[in-house]
Amino acid sequence: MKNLPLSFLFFIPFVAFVTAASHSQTQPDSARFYYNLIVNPQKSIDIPKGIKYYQLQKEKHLKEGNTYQAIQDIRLIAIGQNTLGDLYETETAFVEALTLIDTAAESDTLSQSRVGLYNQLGNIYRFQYNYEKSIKAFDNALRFSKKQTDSITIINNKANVFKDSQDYESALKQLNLAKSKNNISQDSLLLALVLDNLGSVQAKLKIPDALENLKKAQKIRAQENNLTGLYASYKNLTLYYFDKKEKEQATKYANKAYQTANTINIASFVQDALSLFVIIGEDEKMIAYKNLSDSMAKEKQLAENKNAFIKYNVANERKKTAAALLNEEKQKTHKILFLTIGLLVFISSIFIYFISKSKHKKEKLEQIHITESRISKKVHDEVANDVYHLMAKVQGNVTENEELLDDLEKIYNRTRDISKENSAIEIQENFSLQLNDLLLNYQNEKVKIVTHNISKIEWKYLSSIKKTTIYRVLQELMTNMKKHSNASMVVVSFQQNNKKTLIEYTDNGKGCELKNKNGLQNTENRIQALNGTIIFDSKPTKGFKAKITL
Amino acid sequence: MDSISNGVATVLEALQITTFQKVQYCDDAYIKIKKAAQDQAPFDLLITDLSFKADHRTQKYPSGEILVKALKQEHPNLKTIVYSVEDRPAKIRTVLTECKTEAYVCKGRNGLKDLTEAIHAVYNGQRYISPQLVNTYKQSPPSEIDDYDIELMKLLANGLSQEEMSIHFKNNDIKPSSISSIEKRIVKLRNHFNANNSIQLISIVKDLGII
Repeated sequence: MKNLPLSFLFFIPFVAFVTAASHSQTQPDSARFYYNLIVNPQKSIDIPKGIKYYQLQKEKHLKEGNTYQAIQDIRLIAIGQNTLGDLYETETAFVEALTLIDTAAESDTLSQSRVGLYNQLGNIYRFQYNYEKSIKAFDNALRFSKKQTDSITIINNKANVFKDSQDYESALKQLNLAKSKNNISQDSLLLALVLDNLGSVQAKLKIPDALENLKKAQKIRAQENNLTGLYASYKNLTLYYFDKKEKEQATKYANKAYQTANTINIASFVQDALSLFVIIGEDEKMIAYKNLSDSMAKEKQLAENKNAFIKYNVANERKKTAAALLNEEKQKTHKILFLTIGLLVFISSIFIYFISKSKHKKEKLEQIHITESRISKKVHDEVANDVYHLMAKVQGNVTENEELLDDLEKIYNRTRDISKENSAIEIQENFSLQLNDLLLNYQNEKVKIVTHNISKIEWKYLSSIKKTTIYRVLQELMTNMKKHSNASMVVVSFQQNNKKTLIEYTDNGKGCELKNKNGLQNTENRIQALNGTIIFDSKPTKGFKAKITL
Repeated sequence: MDSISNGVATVLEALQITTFQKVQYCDDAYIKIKKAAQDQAPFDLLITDLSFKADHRTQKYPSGEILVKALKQEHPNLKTIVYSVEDRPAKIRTVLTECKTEAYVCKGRNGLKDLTEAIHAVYNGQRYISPQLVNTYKQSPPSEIDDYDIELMKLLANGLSQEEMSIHFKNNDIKPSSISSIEKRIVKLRNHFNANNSIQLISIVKDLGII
């Protein structure tokens, strides 16, 4: 556990190198220079310099809309921050990259950069002692990984997590898997990485191959002048000899590690190297001090878990909240708009209602007036005149009792007819029977009435106002027929077309000129009140026709 | 109102019916009949008009129709005569069938005479309807024709023989298509249109514009 932070440190640059190498070749020389500053720092100023460069690059690429390059820039920033040991900044950069991938359109290259990001994420979790999540992240990375060298690195990192959680068997399994990959010998540094790790795990499991592997790795790293790698090798060798109780060898490698750390000139390396002396010094108090400070650091780390994902989630949440707020605002605006429209419609409908009501009232009054004058005219023409004549007759004293009674009966019948014509009619369920009864009143020896399809009409679907109108209009037509036409034959034909009811009245009476509609104006009013039509057709001696559509 | 009830009273007196009561409202009539039934001295006969002029009094039984209907249910032994100016067949039919009144007398020149006869008839357990209403009440409704008849008359006008019509109807899947039923129809139509023969029938319906 004690060697944890350092083994973490040197894997990151390596991963970055592997995943970014293919792109770095095409980069201009200055880019190559800064890339090396990050990945293979020689001086303490190198990494901050590199980070500054990539921050500028990132801004530039984002402005150009080159998301892929921006993500690469962010990754190098993250690598740099990580090497500096600034975990919080690493996380921030990492979050930025993930967010960019999330928002950018899906593409293969972007999808590939997920490999590196998941790998890094795994490392971050590992550093935060979140082993479960770490393994998950590495598995994700493996899922997206298409290059075998990438896969080897990821498997190696996974093995490290197992090693941290002291599951050495699983770690050994992973490392053997990595070592068995075909391409491993092509990349000597990668091979060294796997061998070094394998060696240290084997040492823990007391497997004899351990020293051989550790030495092999150290040799490759020395050849390649890979300082961070070399430091790790020296450290592992130190620990190996310490475990074997070979104090002389242990001290020798500890010194070498310290020298290398000084050459790298990064505080965390130097600190780590110095801690090696504490371990091999076997001073109880010193060890106690180290254990305490280690566990305090761990506590602090756990407490401070300003987890990048949490932050990422918080940012996401914030974004969602903002979107929701925006949406709400929009809806509010819509609501106000709809409310305004609704209110306008409401007000105008009230307006229209009152206008039409007053119009209707006026029409109704007019109708009442027309009806009143019609009835009064009828009473005057048909009753008052006759009564006057009768009065004259009685005054002249020329009447006999029987004759007087006859006249009186005529007048009585007239008044009864007027009352019948104007009394309210109750629409009965069997309307065709009711119509037949009406027509029957006008049938006698002289006049024959024939109906056509009267029983085929679905009267129940007609409103009662329509039925009343039909009744009244037919009544008026028949009365008109009885009074004026001298017809001997009347045909009333019914037809239903869609929702319209067609009624055709025909008689064979003497007909008339249609110039003045005399009593029939009223039927026209009735039909028109229901948006129906009535068409009269007549010529003298040619009978009379009326076509009603309702 | 009074003159009418006086007329009725005259008829009753002429018939030597001395125990009768006159009321102006249906509700009053209802209460009196109820009370008499309770006192074990029920009325034998109710003579009522159908419509009454509405006034300030709110009536539970605003029309004679409703009154008769209610009383007939509660006192089946009470005989009723409706005496009204109403002569519309539909109204008379409902009063006779739904209210189950024994007699319907139409006010008119012979109204009082008819009423006397009605009282006699009802007393003997018979029903009575004013003679002038019997016709309208019993008269058959206006003849009805349908599309088949129109088609038939069109074919007749086109000079088809009854055999040819029969074939035409068969071909067009129209029923009835037998010669005998076609013949019956033509006779019926001649009757409907008061025609003496087929030629006159076609002439009449052509003039009317039916075909």
